[in-house]
Amino acid sequence: MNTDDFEKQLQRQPLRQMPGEWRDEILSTAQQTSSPADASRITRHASSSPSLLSTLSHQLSALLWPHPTAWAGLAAVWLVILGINLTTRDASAMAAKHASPVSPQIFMAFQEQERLLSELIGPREIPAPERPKTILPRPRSEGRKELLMAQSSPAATELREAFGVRGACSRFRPAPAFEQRQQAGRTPNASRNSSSTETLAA
Amino acid sequence: MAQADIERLYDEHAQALFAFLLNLTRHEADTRDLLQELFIKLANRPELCDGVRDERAFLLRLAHNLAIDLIRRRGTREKHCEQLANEPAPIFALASEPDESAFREALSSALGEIPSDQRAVIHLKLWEGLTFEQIADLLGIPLNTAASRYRYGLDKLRERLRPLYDEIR
Repeated sequence: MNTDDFEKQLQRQPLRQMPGEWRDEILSTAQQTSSPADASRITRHASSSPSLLSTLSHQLSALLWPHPTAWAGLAAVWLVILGINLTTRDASAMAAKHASPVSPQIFMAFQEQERLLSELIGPREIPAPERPKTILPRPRSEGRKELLMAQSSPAATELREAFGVRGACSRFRPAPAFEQRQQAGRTPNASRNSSSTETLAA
Repeated sequence: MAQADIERLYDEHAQALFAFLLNLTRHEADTRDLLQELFIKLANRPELCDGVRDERAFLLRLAHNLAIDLIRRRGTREKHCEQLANEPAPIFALASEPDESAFREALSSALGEIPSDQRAVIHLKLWEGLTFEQIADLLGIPLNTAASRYRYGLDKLRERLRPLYDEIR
């Protein structure tokens, strides 16, 4: 097969004719879009949000088209996570909503029990808060002196006499009985059958 | 651009643009949409034709760019959405003789099977009569690339059409 003959054979094939009705449609559409009103409309659209949206959608489609299945799968996973989150949150909210409020009878019974318990146990003693130790300012030389004394004293494990320290048992010794006060004795000059008023009158 | 200029451009070049676009897209509705888009662009931006020496080459370049955009969009859509293309539109006129008709159908089918870049070069070389230099300038490719695309495409067509070609000779 000669190349030139084959090319000439291909060139001889007549191409298909264009439909005649396209002419009016295409030209009329082109004329409409090129009119001033349409031109201003196109300009206005170009400067407003639809152009921005179309640009955004075009860029998004260009970004998402290479792997649409992967993006769809990722979106599905996110939807599942969102659904689970909403379901669990609704369940806890519903449970809290369905919980019945405490009735007055139960509340009064609880108060009665608390009162009986307080009578049995006695009044509760509230321990006084521990006061913070007040550290008086003193010269540093005294602190150093105490430290030296502590270092020179015998060890705490060594037995030694404790001066000025009361034993724990001293707190529990029996309290001394108070003697009853007695009337003072009569003086030797006092008469037995006289009174003080008579003596003063005389 | 004045309406008269648009009409003149249409009357002089629309048939060539139609054949070129139909050969690239293999779809009549897409061809019509691209032609519509091309002339709307010319009407809205009349400055495009300022200083153009070869109107036909310029319009073919515009048409080629539009077709490439469409083929890319359509290729992505068909690839990912699994939308099969319809029956490709015939690009040649109907023949009265059966052998000629069979050859044209086979040629149309064989052209649809070669890559679109080779198909564009073959169309411009065979049915537009452009030189490789003009084709390279029009498509924005090196001269050797245009020649090799033409050669590879023609070899595929020859291989495919050899039995029919020998028969009609």
